[in-house]
Amino acid sequence: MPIFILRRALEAFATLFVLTLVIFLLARLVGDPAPLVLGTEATPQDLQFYRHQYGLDRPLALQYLTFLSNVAQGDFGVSFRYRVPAIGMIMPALWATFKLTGLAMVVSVLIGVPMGVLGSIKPRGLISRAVGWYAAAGESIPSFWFGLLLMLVFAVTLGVLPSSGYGTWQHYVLPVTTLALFSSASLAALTRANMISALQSDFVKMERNLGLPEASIVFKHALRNASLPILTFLGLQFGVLLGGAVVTERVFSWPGVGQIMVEAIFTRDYPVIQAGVLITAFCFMLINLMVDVFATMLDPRVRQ
Amino acid sequence: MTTNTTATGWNPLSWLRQGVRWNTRRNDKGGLPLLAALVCGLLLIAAVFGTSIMPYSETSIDFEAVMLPPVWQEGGSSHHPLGTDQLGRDSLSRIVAGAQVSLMVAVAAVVFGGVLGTFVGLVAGYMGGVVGTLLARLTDAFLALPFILMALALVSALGPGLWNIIIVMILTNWARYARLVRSEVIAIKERDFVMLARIAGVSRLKIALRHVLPNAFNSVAILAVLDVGRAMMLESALSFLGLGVQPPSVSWGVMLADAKSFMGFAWWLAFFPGAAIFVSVLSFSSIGDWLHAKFDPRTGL
Repeated sequence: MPIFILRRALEAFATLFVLTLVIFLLARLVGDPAPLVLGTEATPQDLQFYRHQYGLDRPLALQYLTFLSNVAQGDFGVSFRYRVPAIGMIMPALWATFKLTGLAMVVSVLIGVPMGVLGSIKPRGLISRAVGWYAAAGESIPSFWFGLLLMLVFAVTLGVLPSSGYGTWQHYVLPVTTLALFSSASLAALTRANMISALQSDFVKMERNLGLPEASIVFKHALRNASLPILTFLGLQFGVLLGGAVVTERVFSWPGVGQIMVEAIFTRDYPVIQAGVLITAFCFMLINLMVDVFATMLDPRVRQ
Repeated sequence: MTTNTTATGWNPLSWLRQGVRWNTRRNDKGGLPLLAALVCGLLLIAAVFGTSIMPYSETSIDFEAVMLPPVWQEGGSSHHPLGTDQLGRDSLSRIVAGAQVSLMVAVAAVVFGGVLGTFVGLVAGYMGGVVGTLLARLTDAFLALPFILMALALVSALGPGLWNIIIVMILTNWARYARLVRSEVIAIKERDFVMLARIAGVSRLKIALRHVLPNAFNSVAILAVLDVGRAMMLESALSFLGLGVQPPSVSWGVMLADAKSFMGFAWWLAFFPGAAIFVSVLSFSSIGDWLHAKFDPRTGL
């Protein structure tokens, strides 16, 4: 087990490494930050001084190493726009995003898994088809559209929920619903497919022959067998949720990391973008690594 | 039987859109999803001939007809069946024009991303060795990251815009093809006909291009069709964020971004472009699934 986990950790580390390289090169390809930071009134001497101060006149490889060692110490530089450390802007926003995505994840498990199980019991039945429709529609509805429609109905027309903002529990309802729709749809599809194959497997046939109660077969044996791919999927789904969160945050003006990054892109605030991308990617990798560890504990076959 | 119980393991895509298909055949194999084909056909017509069919230009401003509701609502005009926006631009015409941009961006991203990915996958799978391993690791690294992070990083460097968004989507999309082609190539190159070609003294390059690549083509084509819907969704999401297609160019995501501020009193501005995205994405996915089930049930895309 430790070897498997170690390999996964190394892979995650390598991916992060590739990402730092890409981020670094992208920022350098865009060009010189000096005029951006100092403004149009800066003299050539000012620009030169700035470049020298931040080591921008040194060889690229050396700059990258400096970047890497700074990043490793949590130093992503100072926001060009707000003159505060970028990491200080990202961390609180990341917490807001995590609350949103975490809750959406819980909701989509609570909706998606039971739907998938229901849909698997009679694969040709009406319920199963309805689950299929839900899955297909949920995966094809653009989240920003769904969010706007929810806002239209519940905030504008009915006036029962706030359309934007952050704070009370009411603020969570619409964004979490928006975000959970897609994930619960994929989850329902995945659970259904896995449950159908689990219910057709030999051990279930044997249990049926032994006369075990159907409920115990479905929930205790088949679901347990189908749960491993669901778990792995949840880890990866976190990345999808992060992507959805960027858009959902925009719709509902949620003060999350997506909002901050999009705004930083408009103002070309590179330190903030770099911090946002790298820290979020790091969390994503960490969560998936934890999922891997957990999956290995649940099912020794994964180790191979 | 659908493919979800084949040896390829779990595969939600293969049966996903079963329920909404309007099949030409009613058995489980499933015929061509007619409704989806119809939508895709309409979309194609709109994209190719749209600008000459539609009565208004997507940018023509008319202050006499600002914020008109759809024709069936009170105050609607039969000249603007789906209403107009805050500048009096005709919604239907903008949706037709948006179809062109949305489809073009999606197809360009899928085609070029597919070609790039196929090339990388072919090299990685066929050459093996250090280069192959490096390319495979690079592919994995791209696949391991959430798409949106990569896209945000790239947009921040390239800046928003129609062409840049295509580049961003190519750069974030190729890895899926590379992984698929690599695994196909590794399987194909062990097969007898490749061995025979090698014994017959055919050059490595020629084997790769003439014998291995055509055999991997099916799966790539199917992945590409499945991907068109996905790409339309991504384009509209990025455009909605203001990072994709920029006004005055119009795509469905741009229309939704505009509509957000008028949500309270002009529901039609957001409703129709969003519905267009929804229906198109659903249609492309069901056609992709149908192709997948019919022509290539063995690969788990």
